[in-house]
Amino acid sequence: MNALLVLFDLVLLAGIVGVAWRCLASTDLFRAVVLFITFGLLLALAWVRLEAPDIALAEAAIGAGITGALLLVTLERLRSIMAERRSGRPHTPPPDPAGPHALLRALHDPPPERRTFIPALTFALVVGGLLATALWHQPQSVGLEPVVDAHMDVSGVDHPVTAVLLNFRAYDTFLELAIVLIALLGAWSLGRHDLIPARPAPGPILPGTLRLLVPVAIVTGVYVLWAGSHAPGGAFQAGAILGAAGILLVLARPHQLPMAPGVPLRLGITAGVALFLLVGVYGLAAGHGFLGYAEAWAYPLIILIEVAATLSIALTLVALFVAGRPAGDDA
Amino acid sequence: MIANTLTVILILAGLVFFAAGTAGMLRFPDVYSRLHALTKADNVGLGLVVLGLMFQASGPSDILKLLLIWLLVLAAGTTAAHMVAQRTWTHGEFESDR
Amino acid sequence: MSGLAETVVHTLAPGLLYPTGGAILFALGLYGLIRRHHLVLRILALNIMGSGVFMVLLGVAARGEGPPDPVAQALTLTGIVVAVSATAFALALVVHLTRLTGHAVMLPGPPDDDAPVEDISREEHHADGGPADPPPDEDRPA
Repeated sequence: MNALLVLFDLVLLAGIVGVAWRCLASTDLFRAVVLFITFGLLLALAWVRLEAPDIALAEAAIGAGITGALLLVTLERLRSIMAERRSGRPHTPPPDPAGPHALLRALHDPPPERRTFIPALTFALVVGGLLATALWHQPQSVGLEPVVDAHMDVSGVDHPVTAVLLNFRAYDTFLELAIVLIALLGAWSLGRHDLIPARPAPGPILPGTLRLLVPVAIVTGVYVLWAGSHAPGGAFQAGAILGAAGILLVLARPHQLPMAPGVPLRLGITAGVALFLLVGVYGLAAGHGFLGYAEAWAYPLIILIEVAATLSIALTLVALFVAGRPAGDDA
Repeated sequence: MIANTLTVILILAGLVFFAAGTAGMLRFPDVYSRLHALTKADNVGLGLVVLGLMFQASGPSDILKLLLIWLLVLAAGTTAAHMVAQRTWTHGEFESDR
Repeated sequence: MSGLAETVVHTLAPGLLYPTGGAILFALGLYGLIRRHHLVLRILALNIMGSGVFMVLLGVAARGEGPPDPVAQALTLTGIVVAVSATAFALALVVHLTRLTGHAVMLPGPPDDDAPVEDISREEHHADGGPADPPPDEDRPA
């Protein structure tokens, strides 16, 4: 049985490394992106094997799904910009193809020059070898699992990862939400968003499926958020699921984005950080320390923060997909 | 015991369909025949795997969840295949596919 | 014979195997980051390096007998969300750069470098986007 598991591990790792290698060796960017999405899905499988179902959920939804959508829309944007520069006139999506294959030419990166081969290989081998050697000789330790386990009853939740994220190491999570917000502000600082380079799919299939899938996605998102207090799940996974539903809606109507109302949108995007900060400062004033909770209040406060964080993450992911400040919004 | 045997048999049968679908995707010459191979074989393969896993479920809620997973993948897969086929129909195949 | 098999299985326990895989992914991403020029590929390489780090963290967390270390798992979860934000911002920068200069390639050195990306840097001089632009490299016909 053990030998079979070792075989599974070896095959899975070989697959992951092989897909990563083909992805980085590809001269066709579209192929590289598709291989990267495959890479993310294989990683999710590895996380399940390493007894980390929370991470597997997040990897499948965020690492493979959302990152893949971001990469694909970026390739479309690059292709549209190249076509516009070549023809010397503004290029309005949906583009009218000059020929049947005009727009499906792939974006290429020429294979790397020979002279960087030896230095790059040596450098990567040395760094990877040092890292692997250090990991092999790392002293065996039980980690922080017993400490977390001993304090679970004061955390307010029953799932250790959620307890670490929102109680024991809430500081990390707070700063993480701030980074998500800063990334969006950075993207918005580059200007208003232009049209998404996608054609609305003709026919009833996509709208019909969305009518079916989006309610299911909302129910799933809320369920995953609620489940986070006692089982794998939580704000990040729920935010990613809701964000993916939002991205699907944007893709179904790429040229008729609803006019995003400025103030509510900004309130939603900053809700996670703002509420977290409020709770943190309150904890400071009440004598529990920054981001500390009274034991009796831990559960409701954690749920409150998680709801706000889910909303912020979902809205931010959709806004990052659309890229750029909302049009018609004079801030 | 019977449940375990049924699980193994059904999942193995499902894997055969997956292998056939993958072989079709790798070997067939154009987008349409690849989609044909993938959608047909993988839907049956996933159905068999899900059916096999149902014998390991601990209760009716697990069985319903597995069924829901199969139905959602069917819906999403159908839509994705339709969109790939439609884009190929209006725009031609990707350069890297040829 | 069975003693040898046992040693092999013990050596290849997930707590050692996956950190090693993570180190390989990190090195592979580093190699790709150095050698490829297109910025989207470089972002992919950075993400692969990040995934290598996550694999090291989770592999080390899974060592030993008991349940895995939840702190390392929480850190990885945080890392994945930070990675997608950073990737999205980097991709937005790449699109902006392409809009400004017409290419999404990191040039390997000063303009007089004898690199085969010469035609791309030449395109930069025609950045006003006139119809006389030489066809950029990424539009090679099939």
